[in-house]
Amino acid sequence: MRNSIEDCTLAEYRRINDINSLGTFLGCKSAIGAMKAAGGGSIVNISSVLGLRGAAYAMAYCASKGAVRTLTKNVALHCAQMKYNIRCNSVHPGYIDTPMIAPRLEQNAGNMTGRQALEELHPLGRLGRPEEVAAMILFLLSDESTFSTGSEFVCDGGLTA
Amino acid sequence: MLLVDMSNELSGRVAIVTGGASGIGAASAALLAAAGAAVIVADLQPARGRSDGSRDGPGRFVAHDVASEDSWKSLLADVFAREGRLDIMVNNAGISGGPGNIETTTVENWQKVQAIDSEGVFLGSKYAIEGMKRTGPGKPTIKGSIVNVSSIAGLVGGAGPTAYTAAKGAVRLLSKSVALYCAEQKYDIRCNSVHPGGVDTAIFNPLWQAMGHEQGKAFIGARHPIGRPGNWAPPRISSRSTSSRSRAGRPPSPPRRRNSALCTGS
Repeated sequence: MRNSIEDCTLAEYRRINDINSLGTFLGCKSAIGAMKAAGGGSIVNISSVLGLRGAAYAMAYCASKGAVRTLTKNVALHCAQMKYNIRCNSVHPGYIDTPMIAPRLEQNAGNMTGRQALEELHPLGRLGRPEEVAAMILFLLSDESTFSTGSEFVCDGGLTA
Repeated sequence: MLLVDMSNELSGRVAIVTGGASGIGAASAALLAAAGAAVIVADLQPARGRSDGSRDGPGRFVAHDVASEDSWKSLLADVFAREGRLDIMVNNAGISGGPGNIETTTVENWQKVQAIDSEGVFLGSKYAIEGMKRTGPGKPTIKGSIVNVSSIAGLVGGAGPTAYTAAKGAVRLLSKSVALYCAEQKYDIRCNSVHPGGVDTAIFNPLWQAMGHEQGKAFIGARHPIGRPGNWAPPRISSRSTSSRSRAGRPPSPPRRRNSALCTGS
């Protein structure tokens, strides 16, 4: 769980980057193939606040989400230059109440529960809800965002403000 | 030409520079040596040798593959056997992987670029800390500085090939995480990333081969507002003596407070 530079093995670093970063690369590649045929489209890559800021105990995750952040821009610029009518943007959620953070909710910190400790990280004082991130993704996939490409969309309760 | 007299800034310190046989690594090794550090140039091959058999550059060469954990273990063992300590790590080794966009980049190419440009920096940061801890056991005397060479391609999307852009974005965030961890552990180890634009070094060889060196430099230069690529050539360090001959009667100036002492995670 505590994945620091000292704790993390090469195998673990590679595994996390394969899923988060290589996986996103493959998703973009496949999507472009299909979208070209359809005359255009919109790709959303889920990065994280940990693709914007470092974290002592999520080092490999941060690296992988930093990769997604810049990969997204590279894909966006390529599609724009090629006039594919395909946009590509990254979404950067804070801590969202999903199964991914369940282990963290168990980690009590001092006199706070794990949940409280995570909530405190956000100026809004709570975790995000999946539907709040989904709404941002929908915006990016729709014609509401046709002038946005290669950009970072943050959904983090003020964490990185 | 250094404006400030740094000739004693790093005396007694030991620095490893990966990819130090050429380009930015060689320039870094030269400046570190000029500042008094003992420099280990860790690279796949030594720099071009001169006809007398000497190497074209400062520092002690050790053959090293940044993508191999075994190579890192051997490198650290060698440095501790010879120099006996580690204070500075410059994770500079990198490849471009050749031109490639999201459509043309293969998985094989992606993995090759990540192995050197991302995993190599991960391993370099990890072994840097191990070496620095071995040098100064027990907090707070563990001390050191790690510099990870990222790129403008770690900041913007149109500055490099796809796999390279992703790897350099990873290095950017990895460096921040390493910095925060070391601070939290109260190791006096700083970690920062450097983001060069286009610099005329061997990383561009595929591009120079494709479009010619001069045309390539003009192409790269035109993409920078300043209108030219960066220079890597090691500065000519003045051989002017700082001995008593030129400073007759004056005591040596006290060491300058380093401006970068507060710089970490940047």
